[in-house]
Amino acid sequence: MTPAPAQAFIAAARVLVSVKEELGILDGVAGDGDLGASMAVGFTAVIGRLSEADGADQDVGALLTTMGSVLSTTAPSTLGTLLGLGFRRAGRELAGRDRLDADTIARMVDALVVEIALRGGAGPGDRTVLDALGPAAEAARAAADREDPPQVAADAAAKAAEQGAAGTQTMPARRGRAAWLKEHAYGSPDAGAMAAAYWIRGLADALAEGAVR
Amino acid sequence: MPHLSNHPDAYVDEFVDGLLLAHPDHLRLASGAPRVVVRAEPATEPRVAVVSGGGSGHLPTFVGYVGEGLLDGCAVGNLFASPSAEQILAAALETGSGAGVLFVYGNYTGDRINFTLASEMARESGIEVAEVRVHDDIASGPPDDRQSRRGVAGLGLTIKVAGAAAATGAPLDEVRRAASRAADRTRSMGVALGSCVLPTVGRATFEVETGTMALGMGIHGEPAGRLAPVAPADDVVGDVVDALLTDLKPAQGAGLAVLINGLGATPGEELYLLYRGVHRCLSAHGLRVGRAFVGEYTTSLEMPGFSVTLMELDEQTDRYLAAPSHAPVLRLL
Repeated sequence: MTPAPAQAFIAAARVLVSVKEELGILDGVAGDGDLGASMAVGFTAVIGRLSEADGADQDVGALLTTMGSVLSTTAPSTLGTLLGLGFRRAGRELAGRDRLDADTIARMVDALVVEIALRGGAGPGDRTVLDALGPAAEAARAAADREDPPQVAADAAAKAAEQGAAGTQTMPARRGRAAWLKEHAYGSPDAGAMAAAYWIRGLADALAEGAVR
Repeated sequence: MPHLSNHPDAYVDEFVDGLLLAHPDHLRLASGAPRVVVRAEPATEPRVAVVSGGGSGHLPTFVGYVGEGLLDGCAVGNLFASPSAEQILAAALETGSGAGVLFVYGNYTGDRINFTLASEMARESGIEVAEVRVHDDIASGPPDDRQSRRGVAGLGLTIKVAGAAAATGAPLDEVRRAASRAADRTRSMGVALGSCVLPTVGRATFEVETGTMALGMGIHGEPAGRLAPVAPADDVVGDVVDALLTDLKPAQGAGLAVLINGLGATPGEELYLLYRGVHRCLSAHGLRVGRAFVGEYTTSLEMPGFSVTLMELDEQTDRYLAAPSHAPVLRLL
């Protein structure tokens, strides 16, 4: 039986907090090195808020909106702002859903992609978080169309995100501070893309664990 | 260079605190969001409010420009990081007097996102908002894509024009047009001789080898267009001015505002020495210096180096640059 959405989101947040150092180092290659710290601060606050939420409140939309609001106000980075906006969009679109089934997962990742592309102005291949989220959204949608169980859909999304993030190693940046450091960053994956991949993998692991139980 | 602080994470809060303690007659905090500094005296009659914001570490840019005839309010971000949309919105709400708000800010990803978001939020609250984005740094983008360029020391002059226009009581669209026109005729380029250290990071995030100049380095240490061995000042400014003029293409005999900006660790004497070189170079090109500004306007913590900004003057822009203004951070005595 799949874990409650709040528990899955908390587990995913914990993964991001745990890779703070790695993200900081990656971000230092192509930015000012604060991405890991920003994600850690933001997602620690998310864990705190979701943990104190009433156990009965498992409205996925409400949880996503809460995550978005918390990130917007606590994660002091462009990625924190973009994820905050993305989760809030996802929250609006998934209001009333009470479980993380494949369709919900697909719509959630898609909302992130749409909002971040709109706000940040980047497109696929620009070496940003979208290079992980875009493939993840496609993979999740394909899984949902096949009516795969949630843990299978999430795993497919995580794999696609991980491949997409790895693919950023050879992309020259065209947006943000990484664009100024094109040559230095070659061979190193984009920290934002890695963060997204870690988050989705964290979600997938939590759903898989719940399914085994 | 070692920094003085109590705790790196408190650096920005403590500097803002110190600012307010030093100038209580002129500055105060807005309500609604943290680290939003506004003029202590409200407008006496409705006029356009000019609001800016950006990362800390560039004083007097941004918050140092809060004052009469300049900025009405400013959202203060973390070191080298954008302020949040909430902070910018709070600045707009606090300073608006019913005649609209003009956002003037630099072209950086985070700032673009947050100012755009704040504009939407302000409009939803019934506040009329216009924006002028500054992208004067010629080293960060090609001439046929000026929108991609970063905003650097041209920010100060654009803020001055906007503030002066707003002080005349002009409507929002006129203030926007005046600032936008001035920004459009502005070009800058920086030369760094070393890096700076973020107190929150504790070491230089990039290196400039001793004896090397980084031509076109950005104010957050964005890499230079080109590295070269340190050369005599007149040669350096000659190259910089040539590049600026090639890009700006001022009219024959045009008057220019010239701003020599210290990046934080360059002595005033050197800034004036550099100005001499720029002045002579411009004269040789048959161009007239209408106004000169020499000092620190947009620093990068303690970066050694300077930038040159040229703004082509028309009658209105010149008048606005000459208008009286007063910001406590900018005054000498």
